[in-house]
Amino acid sequence: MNMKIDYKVIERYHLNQCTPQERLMVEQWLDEGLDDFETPFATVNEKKQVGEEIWNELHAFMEEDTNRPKTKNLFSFKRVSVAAAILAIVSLAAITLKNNAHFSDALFDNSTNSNLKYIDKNNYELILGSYASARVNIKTGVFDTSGDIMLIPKKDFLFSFSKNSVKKALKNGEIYFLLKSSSIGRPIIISKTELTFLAPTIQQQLKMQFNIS
Amino acid sequence: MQQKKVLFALLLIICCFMTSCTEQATTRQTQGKYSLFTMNKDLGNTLLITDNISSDSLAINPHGITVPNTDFDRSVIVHKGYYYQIDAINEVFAKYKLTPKGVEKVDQLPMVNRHIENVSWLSPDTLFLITLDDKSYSYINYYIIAVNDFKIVKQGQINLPIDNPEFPIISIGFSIIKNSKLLIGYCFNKIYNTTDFTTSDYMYLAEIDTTNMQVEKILKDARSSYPGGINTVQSYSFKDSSGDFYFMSCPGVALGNNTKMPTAIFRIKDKASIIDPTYMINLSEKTGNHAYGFWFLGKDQAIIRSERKDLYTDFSDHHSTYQFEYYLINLKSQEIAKLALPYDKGTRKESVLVSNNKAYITIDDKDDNHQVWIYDILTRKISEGLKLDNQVDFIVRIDKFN
Repeated sequence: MNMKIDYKVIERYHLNQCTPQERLMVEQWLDEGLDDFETPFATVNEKKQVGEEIWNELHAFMEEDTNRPKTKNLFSFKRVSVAAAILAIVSLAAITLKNNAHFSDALFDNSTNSNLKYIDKNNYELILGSYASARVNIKTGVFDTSGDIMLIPKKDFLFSFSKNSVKKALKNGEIYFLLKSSSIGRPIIISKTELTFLAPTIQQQLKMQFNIS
Repeated sequence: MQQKKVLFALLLIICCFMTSCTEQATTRQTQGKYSLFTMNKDLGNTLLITDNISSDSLAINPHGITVPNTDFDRSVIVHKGYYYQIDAINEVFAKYKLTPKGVEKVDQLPMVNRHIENVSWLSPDTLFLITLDDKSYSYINYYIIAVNDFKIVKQGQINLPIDNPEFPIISIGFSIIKNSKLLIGYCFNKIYNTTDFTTSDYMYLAEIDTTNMQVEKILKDARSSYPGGINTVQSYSFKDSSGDFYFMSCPGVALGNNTKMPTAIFRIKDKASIIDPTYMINLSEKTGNHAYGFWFLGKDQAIIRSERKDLYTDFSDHHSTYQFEYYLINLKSQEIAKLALPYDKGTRKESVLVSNNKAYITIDDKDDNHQVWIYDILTRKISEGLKLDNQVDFIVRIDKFN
């Protein structure tokens, strides 16, 4: 791509105000970058498909069972099979529930890269700064971050840096900076609106980091 | 009969609509004596023009005029009914007028990759800008602009040599032009990472020959750091009636972040081109805190806006903490006295306007009041002035408009 992807283009894309050429450029750029979503299934569709297959097989089997004359054999092959299938589904559900938090954690890693990395998810966009990374659980609103990150929510949600830290209400349409300050010793979150209140030298560094005018 | 009823209902709706439109247009002033710039809870920004800041109450809706928060911000020059600032998106220095629907660009000059560090008026219609490049913050360009014709009269570079390579970023704090000399107060910053930086242990004063814009002399003063600041955001200096120039240094967390140095007031006497070595009001010693914002009240009186380090945690909550106090300073006797006002919030605000022997001070207090307070310089009494509604989050500027 010859045109430059910068914050202005991304913001216009986000606000649906970009040109068709810019839209194509951003979408191509997005396709180039894959994020690491940890799940036993390759895609959500695949997960759904596997679930449906199990149900269909079980349903067909149960229907077939009810059409046949009843026998008093409690341990018939088909009864045992139904029990086994139900047990399998219950077990799968239990495992899924147990690992639910793990499944909804999304890992984004730019820790070996000095360039920005752009991530677009259903509920938010992230721009990872130089050598930044994030583990995001959108269900709990916990963003465990390293380095400097720009966050653009696509809906209002409650945000925190860890399970026990103070929650902050983030607004759809606002842009936030998640920053690691060594002098403070803990991560901080600042909205773009609040940027004007930071020292000019910090404003300059953030503008340089994220290509903001 | 049924048709008549429908027609009547339609006419009624049209009348109501027209009345409401007329009301909207007439309630939004685009010309007047005073301009207030607000940042609002809905993340929007508003300009509100009024002739009366001494009483009354106004709501930003419908009285305020929404301005864009992408290419227009509070670091604006307000002068004779127009606004001026760099539009960083389009990389121009622009002149704006106000319409009921927003700001309208009336003229512009190319100003690529620059931001304003300091402004002063050479005459009522001649503006002097000192700018830095947006990338390195090391290359200084100046512009002399005739604002009525909106033409650049003169422009060029000023070369202020880096004193220490570890501190490569320049901050311009003030500029004074007198006779054929330009005096620039400045300092250097050092970056550790995106959010961590500090400032050199010196204030610098460059003396420049305005005929060729060459630096003739540079003085270093170790009594403080970060002299002045970006004066399109907040005032840090003024000339008194005798021509003596006063400025405040700002080494606190919100500007210089060299907090071991004191916030202090210094002077450059009318005929001199050095920072008066015999004069210093150490404000940090008197208040135990750093301050940002310095306004002249007349005679020997000034007001400063001072933080409270026991109330805020660090730079991330500096602006959202109700902590700012206003002090009266006697520039001669060095006496200081705190004004009995609520704590204010918002880092670096142009929150004081001096007019008609009164200081109009805008405060955003903990009870969600956003209003003008009036300090009467002659009677020393404080009273309440114009109140805005609580859709406002911060009143970041109050200026004379027309």
